[in-house]
Amino acid sequence: MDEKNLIKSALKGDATSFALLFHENYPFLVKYLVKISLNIDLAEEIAQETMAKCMEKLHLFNGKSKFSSWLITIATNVYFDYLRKEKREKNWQLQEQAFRKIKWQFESRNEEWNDVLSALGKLSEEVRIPIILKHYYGYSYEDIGHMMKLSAGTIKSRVHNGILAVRKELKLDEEVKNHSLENRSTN
Amino acid sequence: MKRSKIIPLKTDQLIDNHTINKISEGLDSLDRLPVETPSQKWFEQFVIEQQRLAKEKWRKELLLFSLIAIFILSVVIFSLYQMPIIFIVLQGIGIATIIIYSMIYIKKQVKPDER
Repeated sequence: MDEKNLIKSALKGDATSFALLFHENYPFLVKYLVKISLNIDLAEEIAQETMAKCMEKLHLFNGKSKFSSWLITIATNVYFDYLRKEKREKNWQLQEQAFRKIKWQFESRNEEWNDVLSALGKLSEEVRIPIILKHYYGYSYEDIGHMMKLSAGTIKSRVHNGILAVRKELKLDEEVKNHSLENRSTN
Repeated sequence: MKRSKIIPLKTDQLIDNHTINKISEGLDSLDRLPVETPSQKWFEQFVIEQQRLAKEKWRKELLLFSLIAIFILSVVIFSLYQMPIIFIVLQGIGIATIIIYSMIYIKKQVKPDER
């Protein structure tokens, strides 16, 4: 059964169709949430909340965008709701622990921890998420604005400022200048 | 003079592109972390449980709504037959609240146009 038919059956309350839709989109959803939260346990928790919300709101899905795009729109909003709640509880220590855990998972798989991930982790979610949606998933500023309920201009400036912050953090200006200078001297 | 203006812009664009590439590479490495997808059966059970919770929530909300409606109707009917003055006062308060609320709402809508 294709996605459209699955959605039609799910709207009628068919549990198997819902399960198939979620089963197919779960890895994509969790991977997106890991990227924006840099926290594997939290990503799984938010993914479950997203699926519950999706069941509640499926009648609002207009079918113009992909189901996966609609799912990450909901996931982004569920994540922001979680952050608002977490701010009230001031759970900074848990966030720090999660960051250490993801670093440890990298090392245990003999993969080098990327400095760029640390730099992204230092950005606020309001800046990090638009960068990921724009430059990793390829959404337009208008689409991201629609997802985050902000204007395209605001998203554009957040992405621009975020890129500048990562540039500074990684000292990429010097790296590129040195590289171009080397190229000129060899030429 | 022209040349010195063009070169920094190009370099700036180059650094931006380099940064974006680095970000993509970093995020790609996150994608390589294993994600355990639960079985189809787990998803079915999850959906059934959520549907049960939604029905329970709907029943609770309906019960609460009915109780509040019965309470309000009882107060209105009691005041209409036993204390007609209080009934008229309550009606007056209701109408005044609607008028004041509508006026505030219209004022709020007009404000952005005034800019």
